[in-house]
Amino acid sequence: MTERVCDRFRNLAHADEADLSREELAFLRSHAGECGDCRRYLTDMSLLSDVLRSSALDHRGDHDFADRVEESVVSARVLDELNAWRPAMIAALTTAAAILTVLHVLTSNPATPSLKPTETPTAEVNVPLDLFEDGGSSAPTHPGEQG
Amino acid sequence: MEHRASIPLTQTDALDPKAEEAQLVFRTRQGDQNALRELVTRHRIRLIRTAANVLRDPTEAEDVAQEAFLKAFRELYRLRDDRAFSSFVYRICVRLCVDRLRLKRAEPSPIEPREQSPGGSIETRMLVERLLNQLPPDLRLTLVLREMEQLSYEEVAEAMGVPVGTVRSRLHTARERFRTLWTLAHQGEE
Repeated sequence: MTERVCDRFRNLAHADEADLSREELAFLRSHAGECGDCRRYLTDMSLLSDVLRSSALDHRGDHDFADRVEESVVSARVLDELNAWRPAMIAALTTAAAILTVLHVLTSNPATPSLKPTETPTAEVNVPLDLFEDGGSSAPTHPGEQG
Repeated sequence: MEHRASIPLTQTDALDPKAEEAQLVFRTRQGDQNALRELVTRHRIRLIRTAANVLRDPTEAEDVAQEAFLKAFRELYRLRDDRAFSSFVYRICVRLCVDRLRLKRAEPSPIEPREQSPGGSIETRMLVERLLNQLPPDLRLTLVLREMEQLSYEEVAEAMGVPVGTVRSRLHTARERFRTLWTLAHQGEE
């Protein structure tokens, strides 16, 4: 039971204080007051945190760093590569537009000869007159509508 | 509120560093070398500092930072939001640091004492360096980003490309291991 409480304490001790609830903060405080091992653990962690922080290097690089990066970018022709996509893209778009235009023209004016208006076929339906009761003066009714 | 409204639009734009950054990225894409230089100047300190703390080697840190910038500019087409160049280049730098750490672990070399900058005793710094070398790259990176670079959990997660929960558990493990190593090192001295 005590082990589990201590585990909980150590887990919470690593959390960002801002992420902890009021209940968790209260637990940390009360358990640290009653458990010597956990109190020592917390002190150790705080000490190590300080040690790490004070061992941080504040190296900011040489003054010519930006020059060196610029040189490497220029020698690697990165800017050219960045620019290269524009003419390439324009060429690709122009080609695509030309292909689409040609396709559009071909589909709207197909190569097969079109029918002239005078050649428009007319359907001739020969309906026997005796099918209609009135001799064909009225419109025929749909088979489903009869009877 | 009235004061804000009275500020000319161009002035408010100039105050927004993200918008300014997006402008610089846009100009770099057009091949503007001055914009590229400005981006390097803006971010170099952060990149070099982090790389130096992760790798514990200022010279190597500059190499990595330079490589990170080169890679970032080369892969600028992958950047969807121009305002996010800062985190884009930082992530690249962190990834390059991990790659270097993995290579170093694969080929262990003797630790040589280097010239130290002021702050903290040389002995402590050298011990910290030695102990950090014994941690796996991911744990070491998490510890350095959180403790030395003072990043928030969210920032560490973003830089490493992992969920915040992973950062939390890695940090827990890293601190525990560092504490054990620290205790052992001091026991050995006694």
